[in-house]
Amino acid sequence: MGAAASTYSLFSSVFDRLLGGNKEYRILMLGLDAAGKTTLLYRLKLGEVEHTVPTIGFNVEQVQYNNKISFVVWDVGGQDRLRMLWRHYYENVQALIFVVDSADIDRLDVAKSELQKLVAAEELKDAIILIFANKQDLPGCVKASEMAPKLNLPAMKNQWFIQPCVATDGQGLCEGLDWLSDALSKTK
Amino acid sequence: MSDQKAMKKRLKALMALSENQVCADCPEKKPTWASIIAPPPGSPPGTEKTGAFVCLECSGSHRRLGVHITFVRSVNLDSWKDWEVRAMENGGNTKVNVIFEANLDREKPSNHATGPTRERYIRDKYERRKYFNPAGFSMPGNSGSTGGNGQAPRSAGATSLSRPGAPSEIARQRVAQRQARMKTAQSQAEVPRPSKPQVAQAPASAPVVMDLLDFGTSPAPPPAGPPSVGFTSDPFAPQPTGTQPITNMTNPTPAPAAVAAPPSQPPTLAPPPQQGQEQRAKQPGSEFLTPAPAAAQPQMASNDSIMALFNTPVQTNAGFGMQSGMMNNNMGMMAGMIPQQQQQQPQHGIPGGMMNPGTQQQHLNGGGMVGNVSQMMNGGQMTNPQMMMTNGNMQQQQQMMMMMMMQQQQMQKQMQTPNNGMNQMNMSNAFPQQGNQTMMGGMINVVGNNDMNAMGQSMQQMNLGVGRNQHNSDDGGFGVPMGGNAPKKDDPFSSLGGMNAFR
Repeated sequence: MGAAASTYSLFSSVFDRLLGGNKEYRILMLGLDAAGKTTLLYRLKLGEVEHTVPTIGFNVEQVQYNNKISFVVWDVGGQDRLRMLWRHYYENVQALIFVVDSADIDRLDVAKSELQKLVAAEELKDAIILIFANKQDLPGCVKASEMAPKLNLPAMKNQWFIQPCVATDGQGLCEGLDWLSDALSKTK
Repeated sequence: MSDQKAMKKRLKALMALSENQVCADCPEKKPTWASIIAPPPGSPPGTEKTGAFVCLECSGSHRRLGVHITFVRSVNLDSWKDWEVRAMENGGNTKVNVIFEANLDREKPSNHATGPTRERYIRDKYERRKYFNPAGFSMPGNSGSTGGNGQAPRSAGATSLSRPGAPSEIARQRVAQRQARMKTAQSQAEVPRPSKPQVAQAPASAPVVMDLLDFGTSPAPPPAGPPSVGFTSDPFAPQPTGTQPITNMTNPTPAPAAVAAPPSQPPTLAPPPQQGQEQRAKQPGSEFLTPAPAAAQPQMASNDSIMALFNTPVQTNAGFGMQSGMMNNNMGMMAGMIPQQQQQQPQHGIPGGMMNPGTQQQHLNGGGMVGNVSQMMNGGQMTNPQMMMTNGNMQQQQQMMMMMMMQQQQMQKQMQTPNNGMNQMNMSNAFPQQGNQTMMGGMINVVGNNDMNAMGQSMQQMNLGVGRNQHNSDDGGFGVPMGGNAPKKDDPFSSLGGMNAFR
């Protein structure tokens, strides 16, 4: 069965390419714990909100966007000690989605420094960065426009974009992905 | 770092209190997550934050409330700040429930409750505050039994002994909690537990019941010879972190350290095998696995390192290993192995020979031992790495995946409630049933990757779409995004607008 199956997979991948010219991008989604990464991932994937629990490890999903672009999105747990593992996911990543809890003002600084660590990584120097300012529906949240300087985005060398969103109801997600697919398709 | 150690010590002391041994929102035992609760409007002025220990599942709901209500931390996976620990000391599950369940008029969710059920309850409790009575804020934290500077021995003594005048409310709740515990007490560990006082007398080896991944708990330096257990997974573990994981691991047959520990412990060791597997999964008997004198923290260089994360699975496996024998054996080995590789040759993949058998084992385990189908599927769906990561350096990826895999495994076993088994990766497996096409749940390559590839590929052909959110318009949508270094973007800042553009 192995042989048959692998033949099939080969065939189907060729077929796939002929048909769609589908390009697949590897995307890493990071952010502090409870930023909403997993919720966002499944919102993208399923269009609905799953009840999530803290991610210990990672989730990965393939998300097809607009029929033309396919993302393989890796969502990695954001707990303090899990962040040490982020670097293992850097390789071959074309884009980074960095999710921030806009209501967690106290930890914007932490988010900033984590982001800075990310962009300092050699493997990510060419990565395109989409920042989701998530949880815009919560009271007291920071607007995307205010967040940009707080995260020190303007100083980043990478190509970046910040998009306010509410992962639980999907607001803003498409705009973010629009930008992302646009930007990605312009890279080589 | 030493800072962190001190924090963890204080936390451990709190967690050792019996009131904190059951999730504040459901009957789940040994919660390792903490929710720090901001005093709601209407509470007396000057009220400080309180904190409760909750289980993984409930913590998911707590996180959804937003940080203005609850702020969730993991005891094991987060580093803690002083104010956070203080909030926990000021709180405690009894106090928090006296406050937030004062007028409780319904059943709490069971520990098998679905996510939405929990969330409804938790929102009622903390967000809508339906059962709220601020009077409880005046109560001392953690039943007043810990001071705050939590030296392990002392607080362990205080644990069950000193409990100053408990209001009837508390008493009622304790009883309820106990009942709940009994009800769900499939764990024989429960039975011996009443023998707490004994613990108190045992000098420095305090918190019997501290499971918990790693931090801190380290049995006395393991006298060389690895314990006799057949399935020892340790051969690999020792290297990286020093040896304590091993001892933990193998305790099921009283390891040296365990022997030295309070005599009351060995009895607890015996029963595990009778237990249903799933339950094992939930509580991998951490308490009997870790005799852990709280005081012994010396060799903890590892605590804050990645290694610590990995050591855990090893423990868990031990629990399993008792039942399912050799399969786990392998897993354990892998668990042990990874850190080693990590440290020594970060850039090298796991040797192929090792990898494959290991992975297969994993696969089997997924199906067989946890009885958790989805896990198995995860193993299977594992599209192979090339597919997932285009042009990857295969070796490295494999290694990475291995790591992930271990984590995942570990987590699934440790944290999952028996039936509420869909956190993390499992989620992705759950989805297809909803008519959605989820592919690749978990990675970890190999094994049946051939047919799985096929599956993955065919999935690829489907348009998964972004659901109803999809739209192609160029309306600035919601809020005004901005960007940098994007060639096409003209002045990013000029376009900033209000959030009012929310669709």
